[in-house]
Amino acid sequence: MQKKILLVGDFGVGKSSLVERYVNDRFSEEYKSTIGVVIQKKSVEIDGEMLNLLIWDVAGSREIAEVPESYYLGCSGILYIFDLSRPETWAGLRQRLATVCGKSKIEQGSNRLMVIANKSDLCDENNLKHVLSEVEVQVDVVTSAKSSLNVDEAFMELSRRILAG
Amino acid sequence: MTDKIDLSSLISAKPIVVVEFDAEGRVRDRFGGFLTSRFLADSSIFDQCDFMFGVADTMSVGEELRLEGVHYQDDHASYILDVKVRCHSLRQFTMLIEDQTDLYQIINQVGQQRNEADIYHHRLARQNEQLTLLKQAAESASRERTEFLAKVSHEIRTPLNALLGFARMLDDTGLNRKQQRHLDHIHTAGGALSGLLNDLLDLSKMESGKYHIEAAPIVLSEVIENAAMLCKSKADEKALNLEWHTDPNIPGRLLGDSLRISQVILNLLTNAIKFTDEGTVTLRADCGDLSPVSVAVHFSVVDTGRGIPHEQQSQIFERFSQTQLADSTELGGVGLGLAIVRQLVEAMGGEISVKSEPGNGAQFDVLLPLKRLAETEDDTAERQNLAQNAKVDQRAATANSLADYNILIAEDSALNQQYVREILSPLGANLYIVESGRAAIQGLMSEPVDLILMDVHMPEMNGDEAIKKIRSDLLFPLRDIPIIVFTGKASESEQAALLDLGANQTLAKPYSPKVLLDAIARHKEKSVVERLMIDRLESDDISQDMIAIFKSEVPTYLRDLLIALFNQQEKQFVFHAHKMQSAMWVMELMDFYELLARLENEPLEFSERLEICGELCQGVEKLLSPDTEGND
Repeated sequence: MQKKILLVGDFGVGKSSLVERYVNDRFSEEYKSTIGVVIQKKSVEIDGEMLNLLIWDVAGSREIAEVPESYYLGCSGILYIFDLSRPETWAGLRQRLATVCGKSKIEQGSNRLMVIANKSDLCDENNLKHVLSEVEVQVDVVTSAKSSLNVDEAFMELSRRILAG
Repeated sequence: MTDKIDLSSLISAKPIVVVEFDAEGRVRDRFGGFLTSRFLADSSIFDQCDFMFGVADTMSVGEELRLEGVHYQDDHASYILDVKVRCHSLRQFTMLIEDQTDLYQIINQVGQQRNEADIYHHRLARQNEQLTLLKQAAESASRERTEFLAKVSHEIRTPLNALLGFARMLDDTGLNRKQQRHLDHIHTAGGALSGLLNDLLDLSKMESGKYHIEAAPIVLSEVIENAAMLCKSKADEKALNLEWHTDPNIPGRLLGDSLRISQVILNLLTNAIKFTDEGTVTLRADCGDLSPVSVAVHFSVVDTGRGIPHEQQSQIFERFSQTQLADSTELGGVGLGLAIVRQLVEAMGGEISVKSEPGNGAQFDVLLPLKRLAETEDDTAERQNLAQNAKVDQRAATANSLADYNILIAEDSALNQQYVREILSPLGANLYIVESGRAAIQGLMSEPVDLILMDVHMPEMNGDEAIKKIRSDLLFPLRDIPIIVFTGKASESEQAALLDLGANQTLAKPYSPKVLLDAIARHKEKSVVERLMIDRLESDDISQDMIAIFKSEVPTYLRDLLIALFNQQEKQFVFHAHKMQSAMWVMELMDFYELLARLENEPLEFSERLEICGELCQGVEKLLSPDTEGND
């Protein structure tokens, strides 16, 4: 079975790093901005069933409305990524998620749109609590592409939800 | 098939390829630009179009869509493609693929730089916010520390004032040698504590920016002489020669802050005396660069003391530098004085430097720019006179008798009351002591008072409120009686606030008997001088002496009349009304004469008398006002 998922969020929040860590188990400190969309594949087994993920790593943009609507076509799930170390990447998150839902045709509040707080390696425990209390919506997973923290878990959880849904 | 031919001709020289594939993404046919592009003919892109997965399902027949910037990587290279898809039927699509790798690489570089700049900008903004917060926190902490210092200073200064005051009085009680030695220790320790308190307060005021440099007319020779005189006793104690000299070429009319200049000179002199065991300490003020509007005055303090090691000279103006010196324990002090001096000098636009050879003394040089006031022909003579008068005044202040001088003391501390009483009573002053601001106001209306000494913190009514009421609610001349305020905090803003309320002078606790007597003498003399300076009543028929006497005496008459009225002392009231009538008659002020005659002769109610007295007070005030024209 094949499913398409999207990673969206502000530029520099670590979307490509998460995909690179998940697909190839690699991480680079070097920042390379993504233009357009990079599509990668990963096969996973969920409860004995094989799932081929087509992962669309969409170029980051301050205005989520700038992401072309055609990218969302046929997607089954979305990971919305923000950077724990940059407040501007989670400001107005509720509104941004509403835009994503509008474009992707995923219902608002659906569990197939997951919110990921990335770069936990740049945030101590106190800061993390503070940021999570400031974010307008419920964060599903806290990740670090650098340390691998919860990266597989985030993709697996989305896959499970897609299959369940 | 027609489409294929048309497309082929359009794309023949461009990196464009046209592919037909079905809904599952399987390629049915391909042709076009891959022959001239970097695409390889056998590229797997045409075997399975992954990026079309899910997309094709959403398209209806005839619909077109565009996917820009799709990254594609095969075993040989990576490409960035713009893809235009057209749905011909449910299972047939045409895809126009354009290789935009070069274009996107350029865009990518620009975008990456923009993003990095954006991230940097946000980080910078956040750091600025954090720095602002840290700055606010630091400023808040500094304010709290300053307030704390001011409060502690007040709490320490008040009892210290009493301690030092009584210690001075013990000097004259015939102590034996041992007792005198112990008393000297009390003087020394108390003086050091008082100095430290002053330094800490100065430093905290400077840190909080709560001090300002005034620009008022000054006579520099006076400032020099006063500073030297204050240090002379300390020099005498160590058998040192203290010499001072003011260059006569320094213009007499200057603008400056005499208090701050004195502070600088006193600090340097005190240090010089402290670190000199024998020889001479010399203070000089020399005329430097002179222009019609300004002069650079070069102050120097030279001593023959132990000098300063070379390695310490560069740090000597740093705070607490003295604690680093080997002999600091022996000589005391924490090294705040020179740090304060440098800040003051720099605040006045000047420079300070030191040169010294260890074992051969030290020389501190201060170069201070001061503005000049317009010169007059009599400047030199005036300058000399002023300097001469200053000396005379100083002597007069200490030797002056206060016989028949009425002083109201508003002070709730019994210790401080006793301290003032023991200073003033032997000089013959009549003292009237009260313990609150309210009692001070009542006292003014019941006793003849020439001067008020007022504490700030008192029960019932504080000194500041009492001053405000005296200046605004009482009648002339009661409301114009000079007021000297004792203040423990001595912060500049508080002093300024008290002066704004109407105080004539503030005295910071602890104060010496000399300082108190000087202050009293200044106001005692000033009131006479002011009266003599009034020339409003000049007349051909009345002699200048008579005018001077009238101006000098009439406020006192009026005050006594009011007091008799408020105390309902009938005989005194009639007596003073009669006495004033004579003065008014002599001066040909017949309106006032008539009013006083009514007060003396008519059976008036209290309110009627009060009304007439009010009219009289206003009239006399107007008459004595420098702004009044003509002669009534």
